[in-house]
Amino acid sequence: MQEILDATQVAQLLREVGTELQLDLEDVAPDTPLDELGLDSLDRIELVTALEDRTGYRITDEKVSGITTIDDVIECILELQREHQVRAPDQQEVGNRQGVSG
Amino acid sequence: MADAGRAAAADDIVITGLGIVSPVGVGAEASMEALLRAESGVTLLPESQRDRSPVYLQAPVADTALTSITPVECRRLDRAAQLALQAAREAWRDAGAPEVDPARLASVVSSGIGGLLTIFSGYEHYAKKGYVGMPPSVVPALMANSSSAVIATEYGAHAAAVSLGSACASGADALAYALRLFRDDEIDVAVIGGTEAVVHPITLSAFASLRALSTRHDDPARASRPFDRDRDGFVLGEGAAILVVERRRHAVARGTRIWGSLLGAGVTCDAAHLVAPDPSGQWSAEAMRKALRSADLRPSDVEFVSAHATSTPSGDLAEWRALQAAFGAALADVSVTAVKSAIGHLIGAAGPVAVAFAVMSLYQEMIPATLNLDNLDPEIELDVVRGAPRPLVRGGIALVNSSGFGGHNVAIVVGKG
Repeated sequence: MQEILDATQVAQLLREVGTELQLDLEDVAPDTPLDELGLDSLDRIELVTALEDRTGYRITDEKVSGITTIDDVIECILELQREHQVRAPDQQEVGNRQGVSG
Repeated sequence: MADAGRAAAADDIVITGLGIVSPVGVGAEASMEALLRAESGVTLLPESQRDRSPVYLQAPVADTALTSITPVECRRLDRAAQLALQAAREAWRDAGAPEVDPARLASVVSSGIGGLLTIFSGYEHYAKKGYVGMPPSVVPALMANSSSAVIATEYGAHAAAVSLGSACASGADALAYALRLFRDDEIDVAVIGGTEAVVHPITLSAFASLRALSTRHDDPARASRPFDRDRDGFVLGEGAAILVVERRRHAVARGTRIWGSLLGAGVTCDAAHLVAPDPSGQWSAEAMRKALRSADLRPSDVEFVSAHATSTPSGDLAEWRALQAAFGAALADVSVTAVKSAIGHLIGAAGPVAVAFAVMSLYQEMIPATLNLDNLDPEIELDVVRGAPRPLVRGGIALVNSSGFGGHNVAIVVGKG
């Protein structure tokens, strides 16, 4: 389990991941719809996958479909942190998956 | 027109754009110049990558080749599609970016294997981390049709985007298929070709296990030796070739350069064995006959053959028998060249690369020499161009022969102008 990030740190993480994926998320207003940033469906999935990789959280399809703005991405990560704080470690999906794959 | 047995017609299908990314050069004309200078693109895998493969000969494309590929394309596309896109951009520019009704534009670009390096990297990721962080681009990048789809997207080709799968004949099959689209009046312009990027210790081990590869590690530049007595297998190469092809009237109306014509294609299958060629070459011969019939030409019209000639003992011998059966007495006057002697075997790109080189040979009236032919196999009687390029003397028809694991045979006939 990783350290708990605040909203500013999650936004910073998002910018870093964006840079890795050559998506320019610097200087973007947090309520900007992802559509307007020119992010297609594969861009969004790449962004989400990279965030899963960096945070260790599994972002479910249901959560992915609720993401339409940068703010939504940040809120999604914060929400996952809250959920995982109140759950026992052996219930964490990512932990289980890593166990399976060895 | 002085060409043997043929007069230009407005309905001819002509080649107006060429793009090549090959082991001997980046760019069609640079690659052709290297071929005429008898350069070899065969090297050894870097020591760090030899891993446990018993064979480590390769014919790679230079690291600096992919000048037009953006970082996003680099992440999203397999190397095979990157090579194809690089070649397509060269070919499209070379053709003068033709204006065409998108509903009459097709992309027909094959790969013999598909995004194999992406499959390997996806596996490596899974072995280390499992699902977490598995790049979503793995599936789109590994698809064997991704090159035709990416190129269709680049130019808005709505008529068709197809990648044909027939192993080492896949690229030649793309040309045969596209020619049918023209003859069925489905299209006015096509972006056609093949690509392959599978050089990797695992692939080399797998082909080595089939006893298909040369093991002449002490002399890489001389390892690929089609029709030579001492040939011992092919050298695995990578690369792509793309041709922009259109109707002559379309090309003439916009005043663009015409490299040559796509005159005919013939396709057959040995239906005999999954990997071994039919030793008689009878169905390969039939593909050549069909190609000549489709071009309305006779064997005696052909000035040179660009042979499939991978440098395997059985393959070259079967091809000689096929040429003998298809050409009969006319074979005595046919020059034969084998570009794999310089660039190795480009699998799904092999056919289109050979066609592009053949078209440039007709345009420049010069047939490139076959490298490393020190002693013609005593069982083979062919007039193989060797030592130095040979000037064209009697017009301008070439037949490019191609075959692939699975018994696939494809012959393509091209003409000057």
